[in-house]
Amino acid sequence: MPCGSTRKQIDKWLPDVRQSLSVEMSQHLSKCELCQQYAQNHLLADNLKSIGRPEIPVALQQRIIANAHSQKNKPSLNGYWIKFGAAAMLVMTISLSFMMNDSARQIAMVAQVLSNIELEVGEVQSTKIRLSSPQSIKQAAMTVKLPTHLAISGYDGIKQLNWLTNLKRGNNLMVLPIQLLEPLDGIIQVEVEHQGVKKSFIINVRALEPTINTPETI
Amino acid sequence: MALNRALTYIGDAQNNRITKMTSDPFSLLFSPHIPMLYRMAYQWTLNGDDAEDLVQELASKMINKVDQLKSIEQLRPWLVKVMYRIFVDRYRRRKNSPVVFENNLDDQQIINNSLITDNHDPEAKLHSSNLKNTLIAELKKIEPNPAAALFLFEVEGYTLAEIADIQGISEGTVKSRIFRAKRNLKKIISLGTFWDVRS
Repeated sequence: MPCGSTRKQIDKWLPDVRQSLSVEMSQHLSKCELCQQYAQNHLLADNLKSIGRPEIPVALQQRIIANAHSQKNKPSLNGYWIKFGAAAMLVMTISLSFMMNDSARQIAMVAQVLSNIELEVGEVQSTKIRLSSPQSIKQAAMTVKLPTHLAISGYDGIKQLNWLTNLKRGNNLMVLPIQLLEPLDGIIQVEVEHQGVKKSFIINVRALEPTINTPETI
Repeated sequence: MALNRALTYIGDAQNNRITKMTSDPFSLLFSPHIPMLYRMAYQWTLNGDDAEDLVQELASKMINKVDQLKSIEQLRPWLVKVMYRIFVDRYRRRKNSPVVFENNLDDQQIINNSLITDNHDPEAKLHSSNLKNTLIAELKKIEPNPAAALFLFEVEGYTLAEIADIQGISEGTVKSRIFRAKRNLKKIISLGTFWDVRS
């Protein structure tokens, strides 16, 4: 089978119809490196096209436009009555934002420590905390507060860490490399704050008795 | 009769709202590009929610720049370029954050599926309908810039010069990014023994 005919057949492949490969074509491909590469490129391009053309979610356009409108900055207006109207609008907006904040306060974020934190002095344990959020939160202010006898590895001497992050809808995993400095139990406080709404979580750390290596008896 | 009047009123109100939405200059300018932008955002993020978030962030930034949008001749590539900047910013923020983002269930399923098919038998891999999922899992391991360049080139049909303009790099770098991404993905599509079985 010549290269030209093989490549014409390769061009007819569909992403999920690999079985259509004929015996002649298989024999040719087993010998011809250039056609092998051609087939490989074709298969890759085919699959990338299939991956890269997702179904468009229902009412996506309306949702995007409506959300964008809700975040639009209103231009300033002039004139006495217009000013009066603007003031009235401002009062309404403030009331609305309070209402929205109130509704946000009701949004539950669940935190779950994925492993027991039991440490010996000097030991570092990567602690995984899962934050489950029912909605994506942009620029959430995260705070981690530590007692004096605990540390985050790599942040020596720092007892409070603050940073901004975007939390996605669903599960977010926070990994804290916790180190025990003294043989005492302790509590780490984690806070997530967004638009004045706070959520606090507590992580319990248990200090373990140091293991003593006794010499083996003969 | 009253019910009919009420239904007519509701119909009018809905029509008015739709007319208002469609006659709004931002909607007229931006809305036609949303499916294309979502598709590209999906290619870069490989996640539906993230893709929608990305388009939403772009729309929220653009709604205050309607005059600027009106003055742009080639709006489509311009929007893609701005969205790419947002995507890169988001990626950097995420990378620098101590919060590691866990895979969604869908992604996890994809990875699990890929592990099932990730054996040393290329023929089994190829015959499996999970090839697409395996590719997605592998795409997620590639740095986002080369993966985005690959999609822009292979799926969207952008030229190297256009991709260079979007990504703000030289054509040579685009070429090497695409080459690297392809090389990694081709390892999965190793056709080696495929024809041996059938010959």
